[in-house]
Parts: sequence; C-alpha cells; structure tokens
Amino acid sequence: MLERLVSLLKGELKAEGSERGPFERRMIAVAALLLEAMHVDHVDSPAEQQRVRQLLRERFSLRDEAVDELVDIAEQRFSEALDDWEFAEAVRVGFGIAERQEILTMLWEVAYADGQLLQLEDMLLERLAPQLDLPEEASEAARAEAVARAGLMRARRDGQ
Amino acid sequence: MIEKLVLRLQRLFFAHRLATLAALAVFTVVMGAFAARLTMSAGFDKQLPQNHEYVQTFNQYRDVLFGANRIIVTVHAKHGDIWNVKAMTRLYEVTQALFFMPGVDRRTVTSLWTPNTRAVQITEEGMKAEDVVGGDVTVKSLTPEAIAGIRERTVIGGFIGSLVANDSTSAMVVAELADPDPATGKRLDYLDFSKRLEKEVRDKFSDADTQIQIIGFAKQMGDISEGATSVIEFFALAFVLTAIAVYWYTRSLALTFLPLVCSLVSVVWQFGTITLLGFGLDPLAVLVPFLVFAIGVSHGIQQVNYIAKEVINGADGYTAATRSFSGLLVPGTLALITAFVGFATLVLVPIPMIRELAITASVGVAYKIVTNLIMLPVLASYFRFDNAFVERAGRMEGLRNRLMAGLGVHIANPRNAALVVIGCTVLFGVAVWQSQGRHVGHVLPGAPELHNDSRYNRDVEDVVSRFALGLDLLTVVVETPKDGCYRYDTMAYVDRLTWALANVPGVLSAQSLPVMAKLASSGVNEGNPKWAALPREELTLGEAVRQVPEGMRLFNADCTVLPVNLYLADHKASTIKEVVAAVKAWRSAHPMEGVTVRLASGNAGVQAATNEIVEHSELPMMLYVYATILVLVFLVYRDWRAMVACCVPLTLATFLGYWFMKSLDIGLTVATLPVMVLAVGIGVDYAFYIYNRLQMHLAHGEDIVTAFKQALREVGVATVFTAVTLSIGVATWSFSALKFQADMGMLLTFMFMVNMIMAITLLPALAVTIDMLIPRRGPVRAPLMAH
Amino acid sequence: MKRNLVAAALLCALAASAGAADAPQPAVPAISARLAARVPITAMSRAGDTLVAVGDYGTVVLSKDNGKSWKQAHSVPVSSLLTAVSFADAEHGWAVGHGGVILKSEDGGENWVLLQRVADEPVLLSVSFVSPEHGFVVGGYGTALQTRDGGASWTKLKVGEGYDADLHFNQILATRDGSLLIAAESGAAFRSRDDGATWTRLQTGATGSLWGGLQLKDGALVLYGMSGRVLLSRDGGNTWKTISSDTEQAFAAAVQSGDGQLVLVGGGGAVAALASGAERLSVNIREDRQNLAAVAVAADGHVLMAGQNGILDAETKKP
Repeated sequence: MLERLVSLLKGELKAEGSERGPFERRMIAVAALLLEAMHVDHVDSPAEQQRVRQLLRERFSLRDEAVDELVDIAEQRFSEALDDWEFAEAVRVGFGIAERQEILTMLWEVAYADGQLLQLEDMLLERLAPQLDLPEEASEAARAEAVARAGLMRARRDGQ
Repeated sequence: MIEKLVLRLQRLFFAHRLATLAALAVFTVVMGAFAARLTMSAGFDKQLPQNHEYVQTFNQYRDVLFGANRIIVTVHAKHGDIWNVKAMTRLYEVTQALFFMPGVDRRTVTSLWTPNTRAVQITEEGMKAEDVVGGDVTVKSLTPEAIAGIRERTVIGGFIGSLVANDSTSAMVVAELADPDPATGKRLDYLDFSKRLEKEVRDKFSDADTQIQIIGFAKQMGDISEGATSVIEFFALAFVLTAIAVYWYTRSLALTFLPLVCSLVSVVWQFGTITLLGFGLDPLAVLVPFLVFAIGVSHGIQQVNYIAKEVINGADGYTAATRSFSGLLVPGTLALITAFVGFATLVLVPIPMIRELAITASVGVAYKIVTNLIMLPVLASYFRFDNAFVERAGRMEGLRNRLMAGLGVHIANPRNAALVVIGCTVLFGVAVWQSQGRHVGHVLPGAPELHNDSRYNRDVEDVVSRFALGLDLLTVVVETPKDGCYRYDTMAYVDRLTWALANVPGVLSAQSLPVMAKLASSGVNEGNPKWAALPREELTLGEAVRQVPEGMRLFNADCTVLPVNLYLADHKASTIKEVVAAVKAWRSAHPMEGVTVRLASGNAGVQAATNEIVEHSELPMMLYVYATILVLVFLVYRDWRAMVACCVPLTLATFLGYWFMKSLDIGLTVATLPVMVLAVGIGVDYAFYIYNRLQMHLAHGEDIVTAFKQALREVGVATVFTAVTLSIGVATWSFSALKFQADMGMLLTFMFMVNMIMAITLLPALAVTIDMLIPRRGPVRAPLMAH
Repeated sequence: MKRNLVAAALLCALAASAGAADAPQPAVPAISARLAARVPITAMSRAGDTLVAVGDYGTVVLSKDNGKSWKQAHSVPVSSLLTAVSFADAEHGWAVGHGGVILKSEDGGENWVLLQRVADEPVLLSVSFVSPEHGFVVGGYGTALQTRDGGASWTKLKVGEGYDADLHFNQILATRDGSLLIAAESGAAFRSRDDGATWTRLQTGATGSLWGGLQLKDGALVLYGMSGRVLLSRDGGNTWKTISSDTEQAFAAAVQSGDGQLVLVGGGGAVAALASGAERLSVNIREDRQNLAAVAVAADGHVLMAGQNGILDAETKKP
C-alpha cells in the first residue's frame, strides 16, 4: 500500500477504466452516438433504426443478437448521460483519425437515412465533428461520402 | 422498480398538468390565509429544557422563590445623586408605572417606595424592621429631612448596592412578571410589553436630568423580537440578490422565475402550517424560513440546470421538463430527506423552542419536495424556449464546460488528488485541535443575542457597574421535613452550605434563612454581635426566624423549603458550572437524612440546565445525522467508497466550522445548536450531486479521472452556484441588528461555501486516491437513481 | 405516690426528649474559605506581633504584616461562631465560642485543637489567660470556668448569687494587681481578689448591659456597653464615673492605642476615642454604618477594626 502511495505521489500511477461488459467502451460510444443521431429529430423511423443496426453490424462484424445487446446497452447509457460528451471523448481517444472519419460518415448516414436532413441533425453533426477531433475538410468529406452512399443505397433499392 | 414508479408519477402529473397546478394553487391560497395570521411569539419557558432536573426544581417552586422572569428599571440621576425631591419623585412615578403595568405581578414590585422594602436593624430593643419609606411619606410631603431619613434607613437596611447604586446616583425598581396571566391564562406578549415599557416608562420619564435603564428577560425578548421583525427587509434583499444571481446563471426570465416562485410558495405553505399547528414564529428561529427558502432555490437551480441542458440538446420545454422531473425526483428527494433528517433530529433536543424549530423546518423541507420537484417542472413544461435562448445558453454552456473540464483535469489528476488528501488530513488535525475549548452558553454579560452596543446591553453594563448585586441568580433549593427552619441541625446544615457556596469563585454573595436568622438572634440579644449565631433551642430559634421578613422569600409557609440564593459575577457557562459542581460535591460529601439539596432555580440556574442540555445534545445530534447520511449513501450507491468520499469531506467541513465558531467567539447555545446540525444536513447535498454523476460514469466503464471530469462538467457549475445562492440567502443576515443572527449568517455562509469546496476538491481527491490505492475488483453499480 | 412516680416518669421522658433534641452535634471543621477575612468578626487580639481575629464559621484569620493582609489559620476543628480569643504569649492561645467550644493553639494561631465542649453547650463569650496554664472562660447564663492546666481540665466558678447566677457574663479580664473583673448584662460587674474563689458585685450605677472592659496603662479600669455607656474607675472598681458621649450606640470592643488614646468601636459604625485626660468621648460614625465588634492595635501602632462585614482596611492612628 505504501509503495502504491509513493508511486502515486510521484505521479507514476494512471487511472484505469473498468469496462467489464462484453463490448469495448469505444464500441458502445459509437453505438450511442448513432442512437443520438437517430433520436435527435424526435422521430424514430424504421429506416433510421435499421440503418443504425446495419452500420454497427458491418462496422464491428457482429451477429444480430450481439447488435441488439449493444444497442440496448448504448440506449441505456445514452439515456443516463446528460450529454454526449463522454461518448464523443471515448471515440476520440479510442480510434485513429481514419476510423473517426469513417464513424462520422456513419453518423451522417443515419441522419440521411430517412431521406431528410433537419436543422437539428445538421447542428448535432456540425458540433460532433470537432469533438471527434476531425478537421473541417474531413468533416466535409465524411458528409459527401454519406450522401453518396445514401444515393447508392437508394439506387440499389430502386434498382431491385 | 423505482424507475417504474418515477415514470408512473411523471405520467400522472404531466398528463394532468392543469389539475395538478390548480390543486397546488388552491392549497397555496388556503395556506396563505393562515400564513397571514402568523405572529412572533417569544416565550420564557420555551427556552427551558422542561425535563431537566433544574428546570423541574424551578417549575416546582416558582411561586415560592425569586422568579427568573424579572424586569429591572433603574432611574439614573445624570447630575448629582438621587437624594433629592426630583429624583425621588421620579422613582415613585416609575414604581407606580410598573405597578400598574399589565403582566407585572404586583406583589413583587420592589423599590425604595414599596412597603416590602424594610430596613432591618439590630438594636438594643431587638430586631427592628422599619419601612425605608414610611407609609406616611408621599411625593408631595418630601422634605430634605424626610429624604435624609430615607437615606439613613436605606444605608442601615443594606440597600446601597441593591436598590440604590453604590454611588447613590441610581435607584432601582424590580418586578417579576406573571406569565401566564393567572387570571386569564393568556401568555404574555413580550413584544407588546417591551413597547409599553419604552413608551410608558423610558420615554415618559427620561429627561435632561434623568436617564432610564431597563433590563430583564422581557425587555431582552422584546428587543430581540423587534430586531427580528426587521428580517423582512433582509428577506427582500436576499430575494432580490438571489433573483439577480439566478438570472445571471440561466439568462432566462422563465428559468429565474421558476425556482424563486416555487420556493416562495413553499414558504407560504410553511407559514400556514406553523399557524395551524398553533406555533408562532420564535424570534430566535426566524431565520429558519430563510434557510428553507434558500434550500428550495438551490434545488430549483438543479432543476433549471437540467432543463436548460435538455433544451440545449434540442428538447422542447415540455420534454425538458418531463426529463428534469424524472431525472431529479429521486436524487432531489434524497437530498431533501437528508436536510429533513438534519432538522428532524433536533426534535430529540428536549427544549421546546428547538422542537418547534425542528418541526417547522422539517415541514418546510418536506413541502419542498412538492414545490420544487413536482410543481416546478410541471410549471416549466408550459414555457417555450426560443432559439435565441438555446444559442445563448449553448454558448454559456460551452464556456462553463470548458472551464470545468480544465479544472477537472487538475483536480482529478491522481498525483494532485493524493496531495490534496494529505493536505486535508493535516488540515483536519489542525481544525480538531483549534476547535477545542469552544465555549458553551454565553460569555459576555447582557443579552448575547444583541450587539454589544445595543441599547439593552449598554443598559446592562450601566446597571452592573453601578450596583453591587449580581444580575445572575442561582438558587439552590434545600428541601427539609416540615418546620425545618425551627430545627438547629437543619438550619446549621443550610448555614454551612451557604458559607461553602459563598466561597466558590464567581459567587458575589450568598443569602439564606440561617444567615438572616443569625442576625435576628443577635437582635434578640440586644444586638450583641457575639450572639449572632443559630440558637440551639427550638423555641429560641423559632423566635429568631420569625423576625426575618417574609418578603425576602427565604422560606415558605410550612418551612419545607429553604432556598440559598447565590448571586453570581456573570453567567458564563464556566462560572455556572463551577458553582453547580461545588453544590453537587458538597451535597454528596455532606448528606443529611430527610434533607435534599436540589438544583437549581434562578436565571443562572435554568441557564445551567440549558447549557448542559445543549452541550450534551450536540454530539448525539451530529451522530444521528451522520448515521442517516451513511445509511442513505450506502443504500443509493452500495459502495463503501461512496460512504468515505461523501462523509469525510463533510466531517472536515464540520470541524472547520467548529474552528470558525471558536475564532468568532460564537458559543454553543439554544440558538446556535441547530445551525451546525442543519449545515451538515444541507452540506451533504453537494456531495450527492457530484458523486451521483461520478458513480454513473464509473458504471459506464470510465476510469475515475475521466469519470470525475465528466461529473464536474455536468454539475460543477450548478453545484458552485447552489452554494452561492444558499450563501446569498443567509449572508444578508450578517447585517442584522441581532448579533446572533449575524453570527449564524456568517457561520452558515462559511459552512455552505466550505462544504461546496470540499465537494469539488476533497471528494474527488478521495475518490481518486482510494481507487488508485485500492483498485476496484468488481463492476461498478449504477446509482439507485434513474438518471 | 403513684401520681408522683408517673409525673416523675413524664418529666424524665420530657427531659430525655429535650435532651435528645439538643444532643451535641459532631464538630464540623472550618472550611478553607477565600472570604475568610469577610466573615462577621467578633474578636481580635495579638499573639506576639501577629494579629489574630476570630469570627463566624470557625474562622480564625492571622496577619503577620500589621493588618495589611490576612490569611486563614491552617486548621480549626469547629464551624461555630467564635466569640473571643486570648494569647498568653506569642505561641499559646485560646479561643471560645458557641456550642460550648474551647479551642487551644500552641503555634501562634495556625493550628487549633478542640479542648472541651462544655456540658450543655453554653454560649462562651470571653476567655482570658493570665499565664500559659492559668485561665478563665465566661459565657451566657452565668457560665464561668477556670483552668490551671492550660485548658485540659476546667472547674466551675460560682460568681453571682440568686438572680445574678444566671446573668450573661460578657467579658472577663485580669487586672495587673491580680484581680479578676467580669462585665455582665443588666449593668452588673463582678470582681474577685482571690483568683475567682469569691466574687463581689460592683456598684456601677448602670442598668444597661456592659459588654466589655479593659485596664488602661495608668491602671484605671474602663467598662463599656449598651447605649454608648462608658464607665471609668480609678479605685479598682469601687466607684465608677460615666464618661459622657453623644452616641446611643452600644460599644462592643475597646483598645488603648500607643498614644494612650482609648479607642472604642460599636454598632452602627460608631468609632469613639477618648484622649488621655479627656473628659468626653469624641464619636465618629462611619459612612457605611457597619456594626463593629472588634478592635486591636498592631505591632506598628496601626489600629485595626472588624465587624459584621469582616476586617476593615488598616487605619492609621496618629501617635
């Protein structure tokens, strides 16, 4: 104990997280942000819900049950939190810049999932980008990418 | 389960918003009607611990002994002395004024002019008792010779120093008050009586040559009541200041209006309930509604903070309100419960005034649960917040978050945390050491509730300096078998007791029947001093006793009570304690069959009782409150770390508070005992707010440092601001005309600020340090709260 | 016969119960009191250069600095009112008081022992020792005792006859020619020229009680008492002259100061002086009207007075 105190005073000890569940914190954070993007327009359309699940499944290679569990946990955590800062932070420290850009793209995809972009959604994502430590060009690129994917998807759907 | 209950309540109230508000409005109007009838009620008996041994003695022998409820009026000749027609006439007029004043027990009015003032002289013919002012002397027939005769008899009677000043420049009129009125049973209105004294005695009889001083419990209470009524101005000031501060914080009129109005409503309910319960507002407890209002505002701040954050995140007024309701119902109730418990434990103190205070305060806090946790959000749901507000609030939010995040980094840094803990441990040691020797009771002469330069205290100083008698009387009551005063062994016993007590430091003089009987005995023997002893034969002793004037109240009709009147140098707790200890030591060293030595009557006697109770109550009260807090913390967080992190800073703050009290010479009294207990009950709120968020983030898997940074971001500013609003509510009292209000204001401000500082520095430091030194093994459970 | 027996039995029972009611109380030692010098003082005397004063509650106070400061004696075994004190020399002294107590000190007044509690607990009012062994004690209701062994044992003296036998004897003093003088109530005074074996009642001409007396340096005898009476005799007590005074206050104690002046103190703050050769008392009434009971001359000539409120501050007497 005394040794720990000494190293503590020397500044050698660092705090450790205590995530014990089946999912990494950063994964839950991504899910939470996606859910936030989905909830922000106060309308939970099936399209949006589906999109969120699909994005998580693909991105983290999860089975359906796992996705459901992840969404549940993320949903609960999101409702407990007073704001999204902790999730944005977790994403910021948990992923590299390329990954973060990808995540931002995912968020835009959710926002566009119901075919409309509301001002609330726009404000949210504009705010999140710098919180994820992404420069403006990256933010723009992510948005463009999301639009493109949405168009592709629609095309694919329509095409079938 | 709790979550479901909360949601059900939310649906209930928000689905029927209008009905809810209407019901509350009706209740408010009804309570308002009662509240309008609220009166100030001071009481002598209220302040006494009724079950204490000394107070029981006091109550039992109230009619036989000198009462403790005396009024003393002195007529002071500014030029020359009182041995002239003008001054003597004035004295007569004042005596008459007092005699006819309602509330005064006429039998007890005493001055040179009253027939019970007799000069007892030992002459050759025996003990001669002569009226100092003969029945044949009137104001109109005052000649220089008559005055000389009065003067002579005053000296012989030994009244120089008691009814007349040492330097003969003042003369005194003493009277006891009959409270309750024996004829009607009504209690005396002290404020009214005091005003009467001012008008009919001081104003009427003061002039260029004459000065009037008035002291005594009734005047003291009257002055305090009057000072207390000025509290309305303070309330208005505090209200305005709080409103400004809340507006600065929220930048929204709606969000300023909400907490203030809702808290005000609960104060109305509180006053209404007090009146319904039959209490009045005791001047010594008039600050409690302030305090409860301030608590209400601080909880209101938490609500508007939550609402604002929700609005910034995109919610509309209604949604924000519902979320705020469900998010804060449980933590808010919890915090109010601790405040409630803090107040409620005071019911255990066996002093009626404190019990009343405990009940009225508890009621007020309980009402807050309705007004601030239900009414406020329901009312808030009607408000709309425009984009301008959202932007404004969002910007401020961002600023504050950055500030707090920056602060959080430094505070939660593990190394800093450890240093803070070590530093606070040292501070704790210093505080404990420095707070030793806090005094109990009152140290300064006069009324401690009033400032030293108040009229009352200046009068006390004048009287004490000019007269030899002590104003502080402690009466030891000796109970004897019937006709005890005719038995030598009993009388000799009381005589020795009197002498032993007269020699206790702090006792100015000791009076009892044996002392007078010895003089009488000498009188029976031609006034020979060698015969001034108690006769050993019953018949002779009886003869001597019968010479002692009955008005001296040194024995009762069947001689079963022989009081020993001790006039003390002051009413400091240390002085009184020494005398009490001396009595107890003597009576156990000298037991006598059939005779009981009882403590204690007289104003110093009942003060001794109050001091004892107050001193012995403090620790148990504190322990009860702490125990409740520990239990609640454990129930909510189910984590011993939470108990340590919440309670240790509280303890440190408490001892710092004791240190503060000692430095400012604030004694532990009936008025200040509740304060420290309340401060603990309220101070723990901050810890709840912060630890709540901390625990939640830990449950999200974050490390302790990040978790704390989050918590600080979320509630840091609100917590600081809560402390500020509470402090504003009480800091205005520092300008009160009543010293004790000023003391309490300073003490509470200090406690609120210190508790807040502890909550944002020591609490996290402890949490971090403990986690670093004793790493967690299991998962962190989310707090027993919805949000 | 039977009626007498019953009457006798009843009387015995009555006497027994009366006796039981008046059973002697166990002596309670005097407590160490910070206000010792403020008790009612009844008598003051000298033990060598030390001033000794006695009073209520068994208080004995001593001053070794001519009255500037007073300290309580170390141990006194009684708490009753002490009425008189007399020292044969600097070490050996006796004090008497209520409850029939006779105390003795052998160390100049610091420590006292209870020699006797006289049967029936009479009020003892005066003590005078002509030598460390030979002394006299008188008191109320005709009490008069003599000792020849320093106080270990006492014998009763018969002073007055008939009605005189029950008079209160207020003071006994020994004159330089070996006579004994007793000042008593109702203006009575007695003289013995044979060490107390026989006594004659003197013709004082007074009817008011005589509270005390002393012998002046020039041999004259003085008696004083109630109503401001002061009597002077230059023929050993056969004839007495009244010294005129303005006061009606009783004189309780007297002493002759170094300059030959007779100083008397009494009730109501009366302080009187009779210069040597003067015919009239000059009386001064103290402003505080305190009843004075004792007066003594310190080794340095200061005159000390004491009374109901204790010992007064030292007063200077012009030589």
